Formats: sequence, C-alpha cells, structure tokens
Amino acid sequence: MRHLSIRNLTARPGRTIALGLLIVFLSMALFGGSVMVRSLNGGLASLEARLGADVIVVPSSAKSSTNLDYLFLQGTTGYYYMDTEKAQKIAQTEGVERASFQIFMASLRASCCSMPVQVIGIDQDTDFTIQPWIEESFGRRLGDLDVLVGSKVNAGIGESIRIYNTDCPVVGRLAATGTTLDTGVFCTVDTVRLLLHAASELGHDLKISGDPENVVSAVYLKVKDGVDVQSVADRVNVYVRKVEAVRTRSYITGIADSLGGVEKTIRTLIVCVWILAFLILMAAFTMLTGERKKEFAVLRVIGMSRGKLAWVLLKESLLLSLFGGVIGIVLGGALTFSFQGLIEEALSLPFLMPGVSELLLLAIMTLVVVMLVGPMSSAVSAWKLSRVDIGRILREGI
Amino acid sequence: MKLRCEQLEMHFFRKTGDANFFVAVAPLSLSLPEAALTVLMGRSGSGKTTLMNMLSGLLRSTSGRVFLGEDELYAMDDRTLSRYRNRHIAVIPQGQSALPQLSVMENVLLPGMIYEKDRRQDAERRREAAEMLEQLGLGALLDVSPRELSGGELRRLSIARALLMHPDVLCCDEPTADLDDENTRVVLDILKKTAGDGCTVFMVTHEEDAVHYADRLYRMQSGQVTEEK
Repeated sequence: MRHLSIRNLTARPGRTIALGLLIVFLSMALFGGSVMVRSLNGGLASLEARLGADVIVVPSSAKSSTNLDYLFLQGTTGYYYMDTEKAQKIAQTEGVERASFQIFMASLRASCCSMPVQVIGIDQDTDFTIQPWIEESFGRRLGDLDVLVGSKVNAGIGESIRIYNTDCPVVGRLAATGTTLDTGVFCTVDTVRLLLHAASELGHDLKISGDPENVVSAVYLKVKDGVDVQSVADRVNVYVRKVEAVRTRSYITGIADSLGGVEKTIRTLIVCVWILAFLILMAAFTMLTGERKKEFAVLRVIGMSRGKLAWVLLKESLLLSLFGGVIGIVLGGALTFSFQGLIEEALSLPFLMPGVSELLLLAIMTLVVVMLVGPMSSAVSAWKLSRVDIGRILREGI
Repeated sequence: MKLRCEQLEMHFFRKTGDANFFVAVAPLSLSLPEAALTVLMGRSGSGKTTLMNMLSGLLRSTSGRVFLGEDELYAMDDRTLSRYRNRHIAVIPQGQSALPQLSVMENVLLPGMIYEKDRRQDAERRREAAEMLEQLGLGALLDVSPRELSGGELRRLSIARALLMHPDVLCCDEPTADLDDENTRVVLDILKKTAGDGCTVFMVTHEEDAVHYADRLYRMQSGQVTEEK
C-alpha cells in the first residue's frame, strides 16, 4: 500500500511525464524568476552601498567621453580628468561633510596590458565609498603597485597583472557587486599615477591635460546631515567651472523605478505562468479522474475509505510535485546562472546573484509552494473521486 | 455471521412515465444464514446487483437497514464502514476488477495491505495467495500484469482476491461469467467450500448450474424477491 502511489505513477510513464513536465515548468518559472528579481535587487543594493556618496562630481568632458548613466548604474569608468585644485575647491563647498577623489584609467587595449581592465585609484586616507568594501574583503591598506581585483577579473592572488609594462601584484580579490566594478582593478592613487606615467612613456595618449600628478577623475561628496543634497550639487555646478555634479540618489531612485518596472513584469509573468499551469494541472487531473474512476471503484470495493483514496491521489501529486519541483529548480537555477551575462546585458541593470544560503532558501520556498499547488490542483479531483458512487460504477461494469 | 436486512428499499431517479424515479428494489426483509451458499437468480435489470451492493455495504439504500451480526452497516461513517468491509465483507464485482499497475500476486494481496501495517505477515500471506492462485489455475501467472490475462483469468483473480480476505460474508456478482465449464465447476466448488467453512456466501448469477450448489435460492423480478428453496 505504501508504494501504491509510486506504482500508479510508474505504470503510466507517458501521463506521469506530461504532468511532471508541467510542474517542472512551473517551478522553473518561479525559481528562475525569483532569482532574477533577487539578483536585480541585490545589484541595486550593492551599487547603492558602493556609491556611498551623496554627490559625484566629474569633469564636464566626462559627459562626452563616457555615458554618465554607466558610471552610476554600472560603475563603468573612463578617461576624464580634472586638476586637483578644482577637486579641493569642490571639497570645500559649503555643506560637504566628507570628500574623496578617485582616478580612473582604462587599459582596454590588449597591446598595453595582460588583460583589458579598468583601473580605479582611491585615496585611502579619505575614501569612504570603496574603502569599506575593501576593508570588508581585504582588511589591510594597499602598498605601492599593489592591486585588488574585482570578482570577475581573471587573476589570482599572488599573480601579477601587467599594465603598461608595469607588473602589479594582486594582493586580494573583492566580493562581487553585480556591476562592472567586478571587472575593475583597485589600487592607490599613487599607483594609478605611476601607471599614467608608464603609459605616457610608452607613447599612449591618455588625453591628460597637465601633470598626471595633479589630476583626479571624480570627486565623491558626503553631505552634512540636514543639508539639502541638491543645493550642494547646485553650488558645485555654479561655483566650480567645467564640472558636472550629480546627485547619486536621483540615479539610484531612477534605477529603482526602472527596476520596479522590470520586477513587476517578471512577477506578472510568474503569476500568469502559475495560473496557467494551475489550470492545466487541474484540467489534467480532472480528465484523469474520469479515466481512473473504475480503478478507484475497485479500491473502494476492497475496503479503501474515501479519505485513504483521496490520500493516494494527493500522494501521487505530492510525489510529482516533489520530483518536478526539484528538477525545475535545478533547471531554473542552471538557466539563470548560464544566461546571467545575457540577462545583465539585456536589462542594463546591476545584477548580483544571491548567495548560496539565499539561493537555498529560495529553492526551499519554491519547493514548498510547488508542493502546495500540485496537490491543490488535484484536491478537487481527489474529493470528487472519493465521492464517486461505487454502486453506479459497478452497475456500469468495472 | 448472519447478514440480514430490514425493509431494504432502493429508488433511482429516472423519469419513468409520471414518476421521477423507479423502484430498483421493493421493500425487502431478508436473512442470509451463515455457513450457507445463498443464490439469487433473475433476469438482467431485475435489481440483483443493486440488492447485492446494498447488502455488501457498497450502496446506501433509499430506506431500510442492513445488519451483519449485530452491527448495522449504514449507521457507520465511511471510514469505519470501509475498514469494516475490508475485514468482514468481500465482494467479487461484475466485470474485470484488477488494477493493471500491479501484478497478479500484488492484486490479490492488496486488500490485506490497506490497513495492516505488520509486514511480518507478508511471507505467510504470499504463501497463502500463491496456493489460492494455484488452486484457481493461475499459479504460473503470479508476476504477470493483469493486462496479459484473459477474461476468465481476470475473473478468477477477483475470486482469489476476495477469498484471501477470509471474509465473514462473500458477495459475488456473476462470478462464473466468462468461465468455461471446467472453471465454472472449480469456482462453484470453491464457493461451496467457503460456505462450508462458515462464511455467508451470497451469489448473484444467471448460471443455472449454481442452483445445484445453492443451500438457499431466491429469484428476483422487477425488484421483488421470492424464495424458491
């Protein structure tokens, strides 16, 4: 008796596979969709944490040399520089609590370097955007030429990255952010300046006007409590020439809005898939009820109660849901992992996959939901079947 | 145990002339003795199967009561009645009633496995089932699927399944249909022996040969039952 449900399932492989596939599809949609939503949220949260600043100031030329959206959305840097004097003036703007600057350089040309990377130089004494992340992952100060690599950079700790003929030892690897910062190389401002000199000696034109010792790419500002962030950005734009001060929050809010739209679409799709699959499952179970009436009448004749009969049917759908659910989760996970890059590219939004524990939790939740929906879709049939008039079926002949 | 009914009556909803129902079984009081083979004969549509289903606890009557010993069947809830039927009343239904997903042996063992949890009895049950199937000419087919059996073999499988339940009451609906003369005799002998062992056997049949085996004989016509023997 314990195996009757299993025997019922294995005896009709075609029927079982068809129902199982529906459940696989159902759990794949739920798990894959949930992972996507979580990844987008995670990417946004990570980006928000990384940006850390209330206002970012870049040279006006940045507008033409790179898409500012990419700087804020993805952390993608580029070639744009301003004088340190200008940076100091920005830092002294009224209402600013903390200021720090960074220098960017991108080694996108394969001829110069062992791999194309974007190099971000930080001022370790004043930085409050990247430093907390570095402390979390690395925990020490960086020395000259030391570099930390993002999670997607293909270089291990102890190895060296060659940038403009300069070997930079990799001293640590940073946690994933789901942004293009994951392909970045982080070092001190002095290291970037050394690399800029090296690039210049090699004859590369990095479009730096002035001495590389006196340039920065971006200034990050933290505004004092109670001070209006927009007014500080406006002040910078008015009093410092040829710079662009942008509120990071407005970008984050913008991303959150577009993310909300994407999330809503994904959720709507998941709900539609579920409703459809639920209805199909219910229809399938109802059709099977008719087909199996006689089989269940036999079980009633030999003394099976209505409750036990319903339990046999529910157990079948539970088993189907369990196996279909697990396969769906594995497939959904595999697909999301495999197409992570494509999804990221298609959505142009930061995409940070949840950690193992969160994935496990999502998988368990998906399985629980699938194992509720499967039996629920067969519950009506089970109830109807258990109420079947045995006498009538017997009269019709088994 | 003695099976009896009091004023048992069955109406089915069906537009018949001026009425919305027809009487399948007219009010009937009957007592089936234990250790006896009671045969009910009658033409198709006379109400025999309906009466048998009501007496075996499978079909709730429109009115009246059914007792096995002192226990009133339809006073029990479904769970209790199902368990009670599994323990005391076996039914050989009309037609083929094997589950195709189980082997012949598993089909025969199935009733004993619905409520029993004691797996130590499995070997003993299997031995007994094998003997029963051997006796009914199915000894070589223990592990095959019922899909591979002929109509007569399927019928014998139902009989083996019912007898292995060691019921107090055995209700058989046309148990010899689909059987050749030799197997008919085998089955009727087994039913007679089962009755001789103390079981209340109630058989609904067209088989005229059954008359010779009957300890008590009833005929049914248009829902009315008359005693002949």
